[in-house]
Order: sequence, then structure tokens, then C-alpha cells
Amino acid sequence: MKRIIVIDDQWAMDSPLLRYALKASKSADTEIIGIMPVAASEMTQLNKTRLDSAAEQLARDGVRFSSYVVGTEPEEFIGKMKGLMPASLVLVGDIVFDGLIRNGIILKKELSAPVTTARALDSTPERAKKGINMGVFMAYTIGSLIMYGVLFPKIVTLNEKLFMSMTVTGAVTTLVVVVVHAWVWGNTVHILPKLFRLEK
Amino acid sequence: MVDPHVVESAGIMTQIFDAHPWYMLGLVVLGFIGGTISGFIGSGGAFLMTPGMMNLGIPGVIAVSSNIAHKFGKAMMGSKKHSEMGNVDKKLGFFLLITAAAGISLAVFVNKYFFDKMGKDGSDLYVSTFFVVVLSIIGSFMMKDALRSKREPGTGPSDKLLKISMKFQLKPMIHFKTAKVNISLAALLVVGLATGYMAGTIGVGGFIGVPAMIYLFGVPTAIAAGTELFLAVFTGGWGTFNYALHGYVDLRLVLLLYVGSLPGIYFGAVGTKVVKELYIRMVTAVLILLCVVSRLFAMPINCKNLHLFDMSNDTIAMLEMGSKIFLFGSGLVATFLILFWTFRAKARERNPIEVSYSASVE
Repeated sequence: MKRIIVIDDQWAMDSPLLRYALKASKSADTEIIGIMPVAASEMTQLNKTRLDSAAEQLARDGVRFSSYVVGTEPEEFIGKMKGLMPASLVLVGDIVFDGLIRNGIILKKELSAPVTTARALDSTPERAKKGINMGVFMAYTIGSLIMYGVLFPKIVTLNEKLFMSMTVTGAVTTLVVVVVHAWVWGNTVHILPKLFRLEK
Repeated sequence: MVDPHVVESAGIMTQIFDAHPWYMLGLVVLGFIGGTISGFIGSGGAFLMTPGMMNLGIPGVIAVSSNIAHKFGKAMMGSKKHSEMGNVDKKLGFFLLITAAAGISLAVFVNKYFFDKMGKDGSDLYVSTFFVVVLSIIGSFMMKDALRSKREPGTGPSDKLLKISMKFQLKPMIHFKTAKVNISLAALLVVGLATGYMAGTIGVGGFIGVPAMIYLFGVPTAIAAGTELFLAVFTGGWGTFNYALHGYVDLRLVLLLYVGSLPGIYFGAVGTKVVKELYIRMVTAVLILLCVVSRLFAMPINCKNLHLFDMSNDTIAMLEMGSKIFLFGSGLVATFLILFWTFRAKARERNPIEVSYSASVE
């Protein structure tokens, strides 16, 4: 039997981390173990309740699931984790383990198990994305220039004669222009986050 | 035969653009603000763009209809993206659509009635009143929920309404595979009608549809946002067609909004990957409530123009200024914060803190 350990302090059912774990659990006989790391001062019934609610939902989906709220002190945390080994995979949410960093502890080495993070999972599709196809980009840019350079200056006239003429033809043409324009302009400016280095 | 109101409204727009090209820039900036916020919070943006256009002198009905047309194309692009990510429950979308279409047609009829009977000020007053009442309730609810999450870190959306709605499960119940929920057909039809009516009246149906799916039906947030966008393609298309049939969609407005909104959406969407969900919910709630305040400043001016009561010109000027400051000020500050958080988070991904995070686990 495969065992996947998910360490997260959010436990949102739609998180990429849990989606990935669920996907992996469906491919084989697998159990998911949920860990919620919480500082001793923040231990509340709430943490347990949230894990329980995740457990209920997973049980409805037929997933074998057990969970623990664990303190973040390095000794306690690592001790508990070692008790759950061996695991096929350890998935770690968006958590900074200050205690582990200070003590120079590296989870992957300490647990002798494959460890991956929510951020690594999240960036995987980005890495898979293709680069910018300059030919297609140029085609969309030319389309946008036509929309704003040729169509836009004539809209006052076209509004009166066609778009705002209160006819079915006018209404349908308006819809078509909106669709075409959104598609062309949307694909033209799609490059902007890449230019600003916000996406790879 | 051209409707005289259309000629009048088209005249207003032509005068604005001919005499003041800055208004065109104003619309582009408004589009960028709305787009960035829309990309960041997953839905909406219209709650700022519709009153924003009205603040620029565009009649309420034309602002709403042009914004719906703008939203239609925007939803088409967004839905395509969400669909690729598996965030769309098409079956749920189609069930909501059944009554949403009726809701939109009803909204178009009512909006046209006010514009025809009471002119621009009547239309503005009706749209503003609806806006203030509905968004005050939604904004307050979202703010309360966000503050609760702040007090109790890590908590998700409140499940109180879900528990109440589960007690009244009227048959037949329908199962939705992608969203993994069972929903009463009666509840679906009511939510669909409300979403359609709101989308048709102020162009922000998502503010009913998404919270209803999350809080009443228990649909996961990402699937609620994706399904709402899928629904918005049809409600937007139907709304655009209906309003265009009455001559209220001004494509100049739509094209100018698109200049800023589509780049804004892409920047906002990147922000959702790197900014905490609590911040996203807080920004949404604060913005909605500030937009409500902005509309409250503008409403007395419509009342004065409709001779409901009198005011001095100084008071009118002060109210107009207050309305614009609240609307554009809050929008600009929110956009600045979103971009700042996004660029800062991306910069941090390349610094030693991030390396230490990775080092601790890998």
C-alpha cells in the first residue's frame, strides 16, 4: 500500500496540494495522512475541526485518510514524521518551518523520502508552457492594430448605422465584434506578464 | 427609426470624447483598475466599472449594457482558461442558466422602463439604489467573514449558510460530479434567477452566483469561480444581445475598457498565485463597501435632477467630487496594492528567504 503524507496548515479542499494527493491516491491502493503543523501556543479545537471536516469529505469520496495536529517544535515534528515513515511521497504546503531552518534540518534527508512542495507543483504547468510563438503573436498584434486603428475611429458612424440601430442584425454584429475583439486583443496582451517577468 | 434617447446618449458620449480626450484615458484607466481587481478576486470588477462610467457622465443603462458586453468577451477568455484547469462544472452552469436568462430579460425590461420614463437620472437612481442595497449586504457579509478568518487564521469561508440550506433540501436533488455536491433544483432556479437579474441590472451577477455556490451549495471556491465565468459567457451574451437590440451597447466604451481591462486581468490573475487568500477577501470586501459609499454620494444629485428635493450648486459639486474620490481612489489604491504585492512576491521568489524555505523541505 502507498502512503502519501500531506503537511499543510490550510486544509482547503480545493488546494492544488490536496488535488494532487487525491489524483495520486486514485491510481493505486493508497492512504493519505494529513498533518497540520501548529505552534503550541496556537493549538485550538479549530485546527482539529478543520482536519475532521476534510476527513469527512475525503471519506465521502472513498479515500482512506487519517490526520494529526502536530507541534512545530523541530524535535516533536520530526519525531512524529519519522513515526509515520515509510511514505511514498511527502507533500508540503506553503509553510515556512523556521525551527527546521534554524537547526539546519532538511526534511528530505531526515525522512529519507521524496518531498515536494505546493510551489513546485504550482509551477510545474508553467514550466511545461511553450515559449511565445512570435508568428502567432504578430498576427494578433496586426489584428489589434486593425481593430483600434481602422474600426475604432469609425465606430461613431457605425453605431448610428448598425450597432445601435436597434435591429437584430445590429445586435448580432455587436456580439460578433465583442467576441472577435476580446479574442484578438486578449491574445495580444497575453504576453505582458511574461515581459514583466511575472510568468515564465 | 432611431430611439431619441439613444441619439441623446450617443450625443453625450460624442461630446465627451470630442471635447475631452482625457475621458478616453479615464475609461482606459478604469478598465485597467477593473480588470486587475477582476483578475485578482476572480469575479466582479463591474462593481467598480459601472459606477465609474456613470461618474464619467455616461447614463446608467448605457454604462450597464456596455459593461455587460465587455464582461461577455472577458468571461469567454476567462472561462476557457478555467475550463483547461478543470474548474468548470458545466452541468451546474447549465442548470443555473435556465432561470438566469429569464432574470436578465426581466432586468433589461425594468432598466429600459426607468430610462424611458425618467431619463438618465431615473435610470442612474434605479441602478444606484439597487447597487447600494445589494452590495451593502454582500460587502458586509464578506467583510465579516474575512475578519473572522483574520481572528482565526487558516479558516475558510463560513459554512453557517451551508448548514442551514442543508436542512431545507427540497426534492428533486441533483448531483454535480465536478463540484461533488447535491443541490436542490428549486434552490438552483432561485439562485439562477437572482444571478441573472443582478447581472442584467448592475452587471455583477458573479457577486450573487459565486457566494451562493460557495456558502449555500458548498461548491469549492475555484470551481465556483470557474463555473460562474462559464455562466457569464451565456448571461453576458444574452444580456448584450438584449441591450443591443434596444440600441444601448456603445462599442466605443467596450473597446476602450478592453484596452486596460485585459492586461489588468492577466496581472491580477498572477497575483492570486502569490498573495494570501485572506488579503484577496479583505480587498474585495473593502472595495465593494467603498464603491457603495461612492454611489451614496452620487444619489442625491439624481434626486435633485428629478426634482425630488433641491440643493445648491456647491453641494452638488462637493458630492460629485466625493463620489469620484471614493470610487477612483479606492480602485487606484487597490490596484496599486495588488501590483505591489504581486511584484514583491515575485521578487522574493528569487531571494534567500525563498531559498531557505525550499532548503528546509528539499
